[in-house]
Amino acid sequence: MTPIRDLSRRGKAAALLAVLGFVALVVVGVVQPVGSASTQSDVRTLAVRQAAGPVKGLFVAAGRAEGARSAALVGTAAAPLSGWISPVAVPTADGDRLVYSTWRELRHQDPKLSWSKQGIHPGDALGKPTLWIHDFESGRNKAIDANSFSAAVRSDGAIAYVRGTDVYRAFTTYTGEIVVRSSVSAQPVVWSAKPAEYITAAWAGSTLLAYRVGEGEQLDVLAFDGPGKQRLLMADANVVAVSPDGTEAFLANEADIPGSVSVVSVADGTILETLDLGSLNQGILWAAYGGSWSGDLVAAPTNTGVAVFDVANGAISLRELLKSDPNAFADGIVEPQFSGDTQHIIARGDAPPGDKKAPDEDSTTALDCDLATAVCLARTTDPGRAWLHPAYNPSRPLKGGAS
Amino acid sequence: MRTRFSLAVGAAIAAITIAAAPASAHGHFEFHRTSNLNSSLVWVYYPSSNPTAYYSPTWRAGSGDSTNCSYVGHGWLPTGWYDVWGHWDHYDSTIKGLATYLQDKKCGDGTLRTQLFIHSKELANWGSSCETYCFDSSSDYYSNGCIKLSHSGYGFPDDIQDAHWWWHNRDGYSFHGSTTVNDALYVHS
Repeated sequence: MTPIRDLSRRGKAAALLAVLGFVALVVVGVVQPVGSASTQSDVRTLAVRQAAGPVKGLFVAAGRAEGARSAALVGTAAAPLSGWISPVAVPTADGDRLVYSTWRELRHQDPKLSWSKQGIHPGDALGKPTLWIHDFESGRNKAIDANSFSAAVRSDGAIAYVRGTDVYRAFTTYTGEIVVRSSVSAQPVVWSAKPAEYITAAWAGSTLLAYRVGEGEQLDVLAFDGPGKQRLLMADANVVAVSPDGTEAFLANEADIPGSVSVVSVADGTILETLDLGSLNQGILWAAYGGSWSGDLVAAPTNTGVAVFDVANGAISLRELLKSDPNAFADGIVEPQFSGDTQHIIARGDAPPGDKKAPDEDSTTALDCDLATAVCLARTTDPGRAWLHPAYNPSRPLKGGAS
Repeated sequence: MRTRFSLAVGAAIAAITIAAAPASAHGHFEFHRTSNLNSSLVWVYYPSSNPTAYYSPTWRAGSGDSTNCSYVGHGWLPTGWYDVWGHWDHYDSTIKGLATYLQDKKCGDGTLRTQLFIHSKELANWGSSCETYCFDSSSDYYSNGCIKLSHSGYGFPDDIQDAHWWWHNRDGYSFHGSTTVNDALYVHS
């Protein structure tokens, strides 16, 4: 398989993973049946070992897709305006195509300096997102729309995304509309009632879940039932995952810390079940976007690691807490996605920057974790600027084999 | 705006050369990232033409609920110099009360952090209502990435008011509303 990064970086990765392997020897097998009598959830620390070959799943990094499919993209799949609030690359339901965002910096910015010190004035153009689709069979990349990012791809091929009113400009909130194309070649239809700072999340059946970003980066979860038909599903919340049948959403509320998680009916916003994270006494303060739901289990990224919740029988309980090893991934494990079954997840591990790296640029590692053994196989370690991310489709229901 | 003579008396005005070079004739805030719950904020100013820095008291401050800068809505804010986009006494939106709006800033991987403020958890009229906005727990120092200071009323000092006083009265700025101010905050790693 073609490596994602050049060999020199792989050499660095091997050195890091050797250290991680030592850590793994120390921590592997540490299983603590911890928790209150009511929860009885297992708490384990995920050990990390270097993968001998390719790991499962589909990842993107540095302009390539690797894993289940391999491809050269038109550029690095990246979405600076949304991070991984929604996936930067989304396979279609049949897995044959990949919808992804790119970012073109219109003016270089030195993060050490203020905008004024760089001669950047209010209104200056700084960046431009573009939404693309890649066909794995032909190898072609086609632009879907300019000033656009953050795609949600439905099982029938409909694509929802945010189309900005302009390029990204200094001292200007990046507003746009949520638009939907019934197919790549169809004309976009505006679904949002008015321009705002939106990020799409996922389709839940025929309803689109999306965020409105507010002051302080507060995320409000909105449901769009059609053009102009938008409603607030939950304020100050994250979409962790959508149920396999698309009728329910697992939302994390962040109005308080510790927060809570809820199963919510997408059709009418009814909160069906709620679990206060503080009641678990596991140090879980919050759960976040980028999780997955398979069968009765929801894998959610949290401040302590990956929490696996059981949502069977009309209640939410913590089945297992898989802590990230602070010596390996002190900045957490993000975007945990069930892969094939509920015994494996693919994810990304984040480690803080070292002294020689750019400020605030984590090292990122592709992970394939076996939940039965609590061991993660680590493949590549890339600098944050490579935008290593699992490529996954959070919309439900899904037909075909997309992860 | 309240006048706080006690602060002037109690201030630890130190003649120490700062790590971050003076950016302008005006003072500026410096935020030292230590942890999400317990970092620090200080006002730095230069009362005369000499290059000696004077400091306000240091206030406990929080930012984010993760140390992963690129974790939008969770990570603490990026390092470096910031321009300010506006300052309000009685802001009344999602953010309420004393609010200072910061420029967007990218993390090392290019992720943009936006909608960042220096603020507390108070009502627009500087009061408290624990049904909505009150600072009554150390966990209130957590934020989605903004710099959070405490508000009085539940055993915490009124640090947001103190910082506000220094902003206006020690080589700071008199304006209110949407105005761009250069180099008004430096975030240390």
